[in-house]
Amino acid sequence: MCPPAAAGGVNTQRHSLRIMNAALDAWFVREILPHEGALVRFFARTWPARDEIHDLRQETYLRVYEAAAKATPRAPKAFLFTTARHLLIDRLRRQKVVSFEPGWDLEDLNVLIDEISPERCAGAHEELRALAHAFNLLPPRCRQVVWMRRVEEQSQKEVAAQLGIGEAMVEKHVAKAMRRLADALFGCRSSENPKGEAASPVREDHHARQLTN
Amino acid sequence: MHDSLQIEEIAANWLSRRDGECWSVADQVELTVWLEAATAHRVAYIRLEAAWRQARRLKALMPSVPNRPSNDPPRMLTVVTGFGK
Repeated sequence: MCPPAAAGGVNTQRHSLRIMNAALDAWFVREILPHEGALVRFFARTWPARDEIHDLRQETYLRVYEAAAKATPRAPKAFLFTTARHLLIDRLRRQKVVSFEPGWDLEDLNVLIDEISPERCAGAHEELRALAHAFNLLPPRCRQVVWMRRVEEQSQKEVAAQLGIGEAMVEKHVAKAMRRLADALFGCRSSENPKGEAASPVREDHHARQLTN
Repeated sequence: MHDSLQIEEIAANWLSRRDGECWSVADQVELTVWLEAATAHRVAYIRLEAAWRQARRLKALMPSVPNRPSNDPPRMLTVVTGFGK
């Protein structure tokens, strides 16, 4: 059995770890997530396998987060893209046999990174527009649940009762909605960019559109 | 399915459960264990959490009809040009 003092020490450690995590989480949300649209577009331009982009994004995020846990980068955006570039280089080296499109090679990465425009979402208004757009694309029942939970602030129980569905179903709608809203919010409707590139090659987007038609 | 999508799905399930009313201390412990098991978990979770938090901002677009019958599907939202500058 642990002596009380030792147990207290562990608790204090855990407590300060939690505070540290919260600060790091906040930093990540504030400094890194707003560049998601640009990051995803960078991958879409440089990496031939589109279905791997979600994974690349996630891997980049976790590398950035782990590095930031040791020392917070001074220039978060530059750090994010350097990390992304290193990740692509690592992956390229690992998979020696890949069918890349003709004319594609490692050198391209340097050029392409320089070309990344300092695009940011144009502030709160743009974000709200992206949010509303994503909201409109949700399937009707899912949209209704989000509305009742987030806007009308009804409890999960109330929503379930009013819609005549189980609470587990409410949770299911919420889970689906938050993924779609996150893609829209952090990708910031990059489909509206001047080059007309597909913003987030994130799944279900076309499917979502069909649902609303 | 890619791992990252799977992780995102699990993170979404955790968050939606935490958002509900049946959240217990045991659930919280289990969630903490999951979050601490891999940075990939944590990152996916805080990303969705931030989005879900921000979804409250949809309120800014709420039409001023206080007693909407709850079974009406919510109307489509539009952002008025020049709004919120």
